[in-house]
Amino acid sequence: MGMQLFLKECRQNAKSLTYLVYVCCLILFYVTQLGEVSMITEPKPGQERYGTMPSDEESIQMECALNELFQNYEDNSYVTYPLGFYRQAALSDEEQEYVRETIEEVAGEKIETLEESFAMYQEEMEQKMMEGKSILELDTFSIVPDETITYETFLEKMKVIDQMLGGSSRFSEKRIKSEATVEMTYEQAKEEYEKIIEKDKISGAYARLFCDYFGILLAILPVFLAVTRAVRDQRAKAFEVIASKKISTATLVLSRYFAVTAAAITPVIVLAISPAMQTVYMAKTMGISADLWMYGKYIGGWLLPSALFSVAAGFFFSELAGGAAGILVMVLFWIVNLFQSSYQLTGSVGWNVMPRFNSLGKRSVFEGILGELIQNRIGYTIAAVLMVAATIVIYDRKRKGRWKNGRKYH
Amino acid sequence: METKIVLRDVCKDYGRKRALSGINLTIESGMFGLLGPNGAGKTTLMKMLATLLTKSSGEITMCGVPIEESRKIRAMVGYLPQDFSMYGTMSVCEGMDYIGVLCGMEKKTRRERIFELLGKVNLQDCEKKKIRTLSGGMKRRMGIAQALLHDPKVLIVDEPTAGLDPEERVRFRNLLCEVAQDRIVLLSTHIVGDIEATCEEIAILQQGRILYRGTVTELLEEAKGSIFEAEISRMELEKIKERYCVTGMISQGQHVQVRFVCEEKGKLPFAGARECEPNAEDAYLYLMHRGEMR
Amino acid sequence: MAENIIEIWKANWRGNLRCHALGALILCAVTPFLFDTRGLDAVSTAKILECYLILMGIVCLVPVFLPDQDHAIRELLDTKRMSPAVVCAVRLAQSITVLTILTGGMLWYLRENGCEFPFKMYFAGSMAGMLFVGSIGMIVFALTDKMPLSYMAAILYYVIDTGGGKKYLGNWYLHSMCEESFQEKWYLFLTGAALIGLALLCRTYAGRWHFGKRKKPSQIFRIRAGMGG
Repeated sequence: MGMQLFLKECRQNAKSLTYLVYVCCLILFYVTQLGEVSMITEPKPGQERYGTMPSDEESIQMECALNELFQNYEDNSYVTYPLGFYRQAALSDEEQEYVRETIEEVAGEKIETLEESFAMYQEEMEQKMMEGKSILELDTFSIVPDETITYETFLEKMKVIDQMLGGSSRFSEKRIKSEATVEMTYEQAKEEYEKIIEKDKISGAYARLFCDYFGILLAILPVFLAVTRAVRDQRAKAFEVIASKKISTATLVLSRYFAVTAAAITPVIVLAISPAMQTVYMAKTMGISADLWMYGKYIGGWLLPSALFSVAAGFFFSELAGGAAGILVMVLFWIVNLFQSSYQLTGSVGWNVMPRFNSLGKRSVFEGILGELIQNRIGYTIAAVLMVAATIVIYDRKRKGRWKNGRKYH
Repeated sequence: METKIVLRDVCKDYGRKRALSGINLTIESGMFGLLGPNGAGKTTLMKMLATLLTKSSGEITMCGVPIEESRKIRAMVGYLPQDFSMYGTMSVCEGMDYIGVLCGMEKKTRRERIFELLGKVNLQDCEKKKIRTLSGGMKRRMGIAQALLHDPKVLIVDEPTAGLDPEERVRFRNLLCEVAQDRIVLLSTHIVGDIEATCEEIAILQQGRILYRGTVTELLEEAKGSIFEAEISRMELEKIKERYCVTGMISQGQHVQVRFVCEEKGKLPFAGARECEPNAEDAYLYLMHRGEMR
Repeated sequence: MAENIIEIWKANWRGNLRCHALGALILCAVTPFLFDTRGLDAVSTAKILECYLILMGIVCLVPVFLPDQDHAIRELLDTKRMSPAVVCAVRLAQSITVLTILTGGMLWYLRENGCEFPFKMYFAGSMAGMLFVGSIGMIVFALTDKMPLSYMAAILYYVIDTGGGKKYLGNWYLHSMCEESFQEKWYLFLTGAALIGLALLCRTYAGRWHFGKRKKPSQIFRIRAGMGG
């Protein structure tokens, strides 16, 4: 019964105008944002830059955090992550005074001196850019911590600032250790390249980028498909006819849910075929045996939980409070997550519904966030399961006339 | 298992409002009519039997199965709601097939039953038509077909002939009589003519209570001696209307032929009135207005 | 006539807009939890308005046509003396009133919290943006009669704007105040007004296309005035 209903629901979904628009959006997005796959090239000795990588060195961590603190102090805009979600905070005058003192103590220089140096750097940068040099050719501005400041002392001072910001800020110990980056040397870049070859089999690197882009859409667009389905019974005035039938509420809701999820993820799988084949061919030309199913694994593990969550939210909030509620709640949630991810486009996970990895390669960074990513994806899958279960309960109560919503439902 | 619906002291409350009060009914095989004015509680009772509403108190069993076992009940019941509709973009056949899946029917069985039922309700030529393009009568026929799809033991039809033309109404009644031969058909309506033509056993609801339970014949017996006809002048009409319940009027120039209910039996209400044989509508109105008349 | 308009106003509030207005209010209420609203400069304030509060336009304007989604209701309204366009216009006015109150309230709150920005310009700019995104949803609703698709169209524009920005959208870029530019707001306002007008027109007269037979406006007037078809 369930499978037959699932197939019928898939057929109905495929015929809807909303679905047509959904597929067109995905295709358009793919063509404009992903399009051609650019080759991963082996790093050559003597290149100007090899990119950046996370650093375990205490001095690097201190330097990165100090520079970020300086920038945040100048703008009086500090990023915090309450409950894993992005929030920008400003400090009061007294708190800013404390930050100023901390910067001066750690850097061993007056803030005015640092500001002057930064202004001079900016002028120099503008000058060089006007001369036609690219931003990558310029040295980055950096405040080096004073040698007398130990790592432990530094962490203590940062802890106070973190607490001023409500905790979970960029200056928490965890983030100081995880978000320090350093320019790669040729050897390090070569090592990174080897990892892409051996572990990613080329495809993995591209699959991550694919998931980064499509994760943005799959976190929001499926909710419209879900709401379209959820309101269809009411619009067609078919609720009573359907509700009086033998089928169990769980089978009914789950068939619809999986049908919408299948409808949401299928075009993504189809669109992934082309880049997957391209990466396989690329690997072949490089003499590597590619993993044909790499894209499938990434879509299943990375993108599918976003779609599951989005669809579940659409069904749940529609049954709870009406069709528009499902859309509005999910849109709000999505926008908040979008703001968060805009701050860090590669390696931003937390509890973001669309984990970001807007870089090709960076296997080391990926390995660093993998645990967090798995936790995130499992968490969203569990949330989806809970919402679907709640939807079944609500629908069943409506079916038996026990759900009023303030007035009669039918 | 005997095909029987038993209701014992069934009540239904919507907040402080009591929609049904102390309903005691036993409904056996065949056509059973549920009559009553708008707001009497007919649809509430129908929905409770179709498991779309829960009772506030009392007991309901259907063929021995308590109403709380909704899955078993739904397998036994076919329901045609007052405002039947299905997904407009589906064709008749697709809509029926979808409902068949919801009834847990196998593909082969579905195909056979849909073909058979569409023929029975005279929709075989409309198989491919979109549901939204069907007329009101056709939709109702499709409604009855979907209710019968899984061959239920109990068929509940809520005001099926409202809005249908006379020919459609007769066709519908005949169809219901046909299917009532080996199952319970519970027909709710406020059109007395439907009941008179099809049902032997009836119940009349008023303000959530059973006002009458018995056969149509017994109902007519009860009203015997209370129905009168008279030819009166137009000027007297208002006075008659105030005193009695007028069940029919035919204007004839300056005179009006009225048919009315007078509670006092065995006595002519006024000179010129003559007793006549009650029909079902007269009997229904007699029952509704008993106690109000002087 | 005024009495009738007040009745339409009250009925729309009770039966339709109230829930959506509550949604918009909740959107405003959670702003301090999502963003720091203390002592922001003009650009940071604009970010809140253009990236987040602009959604109120979608929340309040798309439901203008929601009460008569059912064709039977629309047909019934078509037979009445009062033009459906007037009814929709009253609903639209109510939605805009709600938006005005909430936007004004939020700006007042931000100013009280020490944010520095040009109040009138930001109010006008915000309203223009909200009208525009709301009008996208309205025109799609008027043409397709599908509520999820209407919201989807408006949100999609927002997504394209966030992703593509000025490069693709030019003068119809939603976040121009973040770049201290107000000229684009005129384009948004005028386009929004045009789309709303078009949506009202579609909604009022599209129903006249009954199975290929178009009724002239004069015929519709005669029906409504009880003079027969």
